[in-house]
Amino acid sequence: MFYGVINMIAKKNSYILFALPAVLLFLIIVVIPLLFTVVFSFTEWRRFNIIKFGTFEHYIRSLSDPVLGKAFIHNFLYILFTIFLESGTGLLLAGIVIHLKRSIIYRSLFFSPIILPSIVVGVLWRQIYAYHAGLLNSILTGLGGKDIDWLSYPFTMISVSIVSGWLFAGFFMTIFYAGLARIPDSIIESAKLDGASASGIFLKIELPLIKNLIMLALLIVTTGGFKGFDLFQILLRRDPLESGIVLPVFLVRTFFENQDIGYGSAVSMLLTLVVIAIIIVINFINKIFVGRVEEF
Amino acid sequence: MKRVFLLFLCTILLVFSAGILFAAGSQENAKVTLRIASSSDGPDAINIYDSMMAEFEKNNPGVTVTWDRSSGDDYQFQGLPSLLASDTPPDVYFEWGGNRVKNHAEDGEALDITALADEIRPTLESSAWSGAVFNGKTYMIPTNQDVTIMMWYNKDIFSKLGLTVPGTWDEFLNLCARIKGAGITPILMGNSDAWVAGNFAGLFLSRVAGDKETDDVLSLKKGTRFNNPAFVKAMQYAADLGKKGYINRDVNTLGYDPSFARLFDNSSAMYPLGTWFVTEVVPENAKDPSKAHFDFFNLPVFPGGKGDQTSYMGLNTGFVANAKTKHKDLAVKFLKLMISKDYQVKFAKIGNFSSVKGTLDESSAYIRKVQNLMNSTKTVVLPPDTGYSVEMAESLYSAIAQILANDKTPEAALKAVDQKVKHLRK
Repeated sequence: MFYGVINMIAKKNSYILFALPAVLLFLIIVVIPLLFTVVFSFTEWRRFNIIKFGTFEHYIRSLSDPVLGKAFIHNFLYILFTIFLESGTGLLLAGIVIHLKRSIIYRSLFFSPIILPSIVVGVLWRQIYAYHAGLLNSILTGLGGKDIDWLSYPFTMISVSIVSGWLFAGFFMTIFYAGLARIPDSIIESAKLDGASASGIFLKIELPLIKNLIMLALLIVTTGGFKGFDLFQILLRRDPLESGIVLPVFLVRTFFENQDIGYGSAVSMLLTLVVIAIIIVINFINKIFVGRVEEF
Repeated sequence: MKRVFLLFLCTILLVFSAGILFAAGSQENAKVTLRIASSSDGPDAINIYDSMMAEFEKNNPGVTVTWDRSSGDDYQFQGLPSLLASDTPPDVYFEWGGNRVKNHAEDGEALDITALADEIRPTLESSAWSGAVFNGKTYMIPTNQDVTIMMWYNKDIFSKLGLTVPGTWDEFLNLCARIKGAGITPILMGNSDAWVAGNFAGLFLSRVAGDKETDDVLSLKKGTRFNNPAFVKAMQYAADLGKKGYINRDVNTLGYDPSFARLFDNSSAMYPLGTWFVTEVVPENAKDPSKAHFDFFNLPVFPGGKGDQTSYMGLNTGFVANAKTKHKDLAVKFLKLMISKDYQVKFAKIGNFSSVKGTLDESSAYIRKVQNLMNSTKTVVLPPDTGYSVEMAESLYSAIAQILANDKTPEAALKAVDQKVKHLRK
């Protein structure tokens, strides 16, 4: 019977067989857990045991949870800052490096932070940001300034975002570099003959030709921003002031420390909806402003 | 022919796989692994645990003991819950006495070890069982008794400035003012993990508002509120310390371990920490910290405080046998070995406050002083994060951090706690 079905599919619609492993994996890894999360979000838990079904309380609670509100605001700030610090800096670096001789040296140099483990990056930057005898404050006081608590309000989010930018700008530089390198020399040469300056070439010719990559970077930074956990955890530890609490940290605490599976699932669903909404907006922007990109 | 060959091949593979599985199963029966989990310890303690494991394996042929360690905060919040929910949960695990042990008992994760407790009861200090017994049943073998908040101070700084140990809150404030006047930070705390200041200022609550009253509020009893006048008054003391600059400015971003360096460069005079100060900060002088120029005093008397002014914040810690273990007898046997006097004497020698009678070196002035502190009061205040709901403690600690940093007034911070714990009161 089973052999017969497989044989029939293989003869008439062989493409189904090719897609099947991926579809099965997607079902197991994404769809089924998502469905469980939806169900869990309507259940009451006592640590790891369900004690009540069919409750809407978690969604109602989420509307007035002050910490969740802070986590959402901080997450959006983080995304806003990293759009500039990760993809913006990456774009700038690619624009500079593409015109340099032996660019491989510079590309390797700018890319190198990403190969460091997060724990190393976190500990390193904790030393830089340390209030007492930290590198930044030593420079500041050396110049006659006052010590600043960089990992405390109001600097927390920008401080963490700077580390994120330092870490990932090289990655985005690589993406943009690949795009810029594909632009034919003839186009750049023509612009030069017409008297275009280096900045003019970059802004008016190169940038429009890689706008699809810019949108891709925007998508990666935005969705990745909702997954930022390690740097926050290492740099801020438990962050008692909640000056840098973000959604992944909030979720880990809700799920594992408070063992509140129902509420954690409800917040996860809200987060999923927000991310889907953002992706739709980005796709909409992409269609309007980018459209089809000419291939070389 | 091709089909017959395929069928033959499949049969061979099935028989082979079944054989491997059977062999693996038989080996499993012959060899037992006893899993232990705990938060990380210093190298001296690990050496003692290693010799304990070796002795247990020697006395129980076929048994292998494995030990899973993770750092305190990670173990408490993520490590242990994950391990207990895993397919290979620990058979014996470290715990902080109080609400956590009670939760494990209710969730069927703690074995009723009353029989073992009855057997060893005469050998342990009677106060050690607090936080280990619920509804008349014992679920934890308490190995340690700790004071979690003592004001450790640098004797050199005190003597240089001619300071004496304060008896009242006003004297304490005067002392802080003189230390600050000398360009030294009076109180140092590395509170990025939230519990150091949480424990320190948490003791203010019971001292000022009353022990039972505080217990009621922290237990989220019906009709209680965090934002009440007595709590506001208690937290005002904490706010004043922050406002007057008596606490390091980076209190909430400074890490726990990195903070200790600032005790040794004489830039800070006092650090509120528990008995483990000796094993973590001055392990080389664990027997007599005064050789490392440190001594301690209990928190001073709060004016008009309703609670017991001799109280201390304390905690019993120990090991729990997992009720779901397949090796209950072995787990109990291991607990018995762990609490044996031979091993507890070794732990006492490296600075632990063993709950087994006659293990502490009473010739040490330091040990006698801690014993005096423990014996001088009837009131032991539980730390909020281990004695009560973790979620409540997290909210309270956040409020304390904000009050110390003067980010919020005591009223506003305590009001936020009420808002955060609203769902827990149902």
